[in-house]
Amino acid sequence: MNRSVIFGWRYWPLVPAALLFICVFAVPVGEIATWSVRDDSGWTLSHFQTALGAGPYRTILISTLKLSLVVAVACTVVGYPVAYFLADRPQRQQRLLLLFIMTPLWVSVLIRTYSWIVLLGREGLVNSLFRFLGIADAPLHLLYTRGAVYAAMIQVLLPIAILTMFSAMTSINRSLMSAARILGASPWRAFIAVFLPLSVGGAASAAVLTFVLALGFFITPALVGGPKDAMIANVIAQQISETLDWGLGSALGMALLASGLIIVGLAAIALRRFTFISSEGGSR
Amino acid sequence: MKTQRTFVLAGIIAAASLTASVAHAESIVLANYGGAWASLLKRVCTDPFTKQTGVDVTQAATGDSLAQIRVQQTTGNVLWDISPTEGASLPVSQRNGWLEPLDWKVIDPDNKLSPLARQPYAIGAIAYSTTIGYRTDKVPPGKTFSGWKDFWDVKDFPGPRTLRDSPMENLEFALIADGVPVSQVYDVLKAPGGVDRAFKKLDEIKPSITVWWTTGQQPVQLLATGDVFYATAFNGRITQLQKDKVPVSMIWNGASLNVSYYSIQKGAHNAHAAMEFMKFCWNDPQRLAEIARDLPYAGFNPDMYKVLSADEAKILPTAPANVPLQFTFNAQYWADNQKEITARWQAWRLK
Repeated sequence: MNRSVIFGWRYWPLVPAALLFICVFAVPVGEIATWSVRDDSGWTLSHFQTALGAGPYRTILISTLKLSLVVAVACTVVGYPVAYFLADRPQRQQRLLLLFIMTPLWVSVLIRTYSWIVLLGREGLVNSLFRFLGIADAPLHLLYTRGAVYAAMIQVLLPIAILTMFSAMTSINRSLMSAARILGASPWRAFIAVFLPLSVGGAASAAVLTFVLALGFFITPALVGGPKDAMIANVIAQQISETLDWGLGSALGMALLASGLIIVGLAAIALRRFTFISSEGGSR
Repeated sequence: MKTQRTFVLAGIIAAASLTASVAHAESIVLANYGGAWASLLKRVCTDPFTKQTGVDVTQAATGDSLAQIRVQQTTGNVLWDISPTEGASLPVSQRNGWLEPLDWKVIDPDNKLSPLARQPYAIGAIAYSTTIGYRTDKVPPGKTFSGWKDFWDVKDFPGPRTLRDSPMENLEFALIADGVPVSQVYDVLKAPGGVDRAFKKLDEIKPSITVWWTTGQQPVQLLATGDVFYATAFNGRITQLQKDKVPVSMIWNGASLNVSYYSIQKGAHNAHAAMEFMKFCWNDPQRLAEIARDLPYAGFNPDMYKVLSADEAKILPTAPANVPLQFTFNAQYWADNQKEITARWQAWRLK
C-alpha cells in the first residue's frame, strides 16, 4: 500500500531535474537577489536606485533590451522561410540541410565573432573586394558599428531560431493545406489562413528564445561593437570583477532578469490571445 | 566473506593513496593571467623549482583575480597560494584584510629588491608599461610621432585610435596630453578640478576612438590589421608585434609604469613554500634575465641588468633611460576613487 503510493507518485520523473534546478539555479539566484538589496550596513534599495535611476546604467539596460528585440525579430523573420522550406523537404534532404544549419553551432562563438572582424575590418575582405571592384575608394567603416553587432549576433543566433521553428512546423499536418487548396483557396491564402496561425507558436518560441539569449550577449558586442555599444552584461562583469561593487552588479543582474521575464510574459499573454482568436476563426 | 575481503582491500588501497598524497603534500598553486607568461614561468621557474625542492607548483589561469580572491576569502576556501594583485587589487585586498604579510627575511634576506617591489603584502614580480603603439607606415611622411600631444593631434596625425575601456591610466594620459609633466600627473589629478580637466581633454579625442579595448590582445590585433593606427598597449605585446614584422613602434614618453604584484592570501595552505618560490623566481638575477629575454618585462633585482646585454636592457620598462620618461601607476589613488570615476566614465562614454 505504502509502496504503491511512493512509486505511484506521478512527479517522480521530475525529481532529478528539480534538484539540479534548485541547487544550481534557484539558490544562487536567490543569493544574488539578497546581495542586490543589502550592503555592509543592512537592507537597502540604493543599488537599485543607482541601477534604475536616470544615468548610464538605465540607458545601457534599455539599449540592451532594444538591441535584443531587434535581433530576435530579425532571426525570426529571416529564419521563418528557411524553416518553412526545410519542413517541406523529403526526409533525406532534410537531414543534409539540417547538418548545414547545425554546423555553425559547433564552432565557438568567439571564433565566429573573430571571423566577422576578418571580414569587416578596414583592410578586411569586404573592403578589399569593394576596392578591387572600384565601388569605394576609401575603406568603409563597417566594423565597430551597431550594424556589425547585429550581423554577428544574428549569425550566431539564427540556427537556433531556425531549428526551433523547424521542429514546430514538422508537427503541422500538411494535409490541412491540401484541404484548403481543394476547397478553392489560392496557395497564398492557404498559407495565411492555415499554416501561418498553426506555426505562429513556433515562431514565437524562436523569438523568445533568441531574445533571452541575446540579452546575455557579452563577448560579441565587446569585440565588434562601436564605442557606444556597451551591453548590460559587460557592465555587470565590470562591477563584479573590477570595481567589486557586487551589490550594484547584482541589482543590474536582477533588473535584467526581471525585464526579460516581463517581456517574455507579455509576449506569452499576447500570443495566447492571438492563437485563441485565430483558432476560433479556424473553427468557424 | 568475499565482500568483506574486498572492503579490506579497498581500505588498504585508500590508505595507501592517502599516504602517497601526504608524501606529495608539499605543493603550491600559483595563479596568474596565463598565456605566454604562464608558459615562460613554467620553463624558467616552476619546473626548476620542483626539481630543486620537490615542491609541486600548479599554475591556475584567471582573468579576474580580485573577484576570485574575494570569493575565496568570503567562502573560506583558499585555492591559491600565490595570487596576482596588480593594479587596484593590492590596495583593495589589503584594505579588506585578505592578505598575509610577507616575510622579507625569507624572500629577500640580502635586501636586494628595489623598494617598489618590497611591499608589506606583495612582491613586485616584474614591471610592465602601458605605452603608445603606432603604425610607422601610417604616420604622414616628414612627421615624427612623439607622444600624447601627437596622439591627441588628429590634424597632423589623422587616423583611427583605440584606448582601453577604463578611466584608469586614460585620465593620466589625457592630463599629459594637456601639458602636465609626468612627475606631476597625480598631483594635478588629485587637486580640485583635476578629474574634470582630464575628462574635458578626453572629450577632444573621443570622436577619433574607433573602439574601446577590453583585453590586452585587442589593441595589438587592431594595430596588426590596420583597424587603428594609434593605440595604448602593453609594451611586451608591441615587442611581440615587431617580431611578427608588423611596422609598429612604441613610445616610452608618458607611458604608465606598472608593477605586476603577487601576494599570499590569508589562509593559504602553503605560505612558506610560496615565499620560497617568490625568492627563487622573482629575486634571482639569472632567472629574471631569462624572463626578460623572452618577454620584455623587467624584474626588480637590479643585478639582472648585469646579466643582460645593453641591447637586451634598453627595451625594458625599467631601463635607466626609460624610467624618467614615464609615471608610476598609482594604485592607491584608483583604489580610493575607482567606483565614482568608473560610474562617471560609463556615463561619459555613452554621451
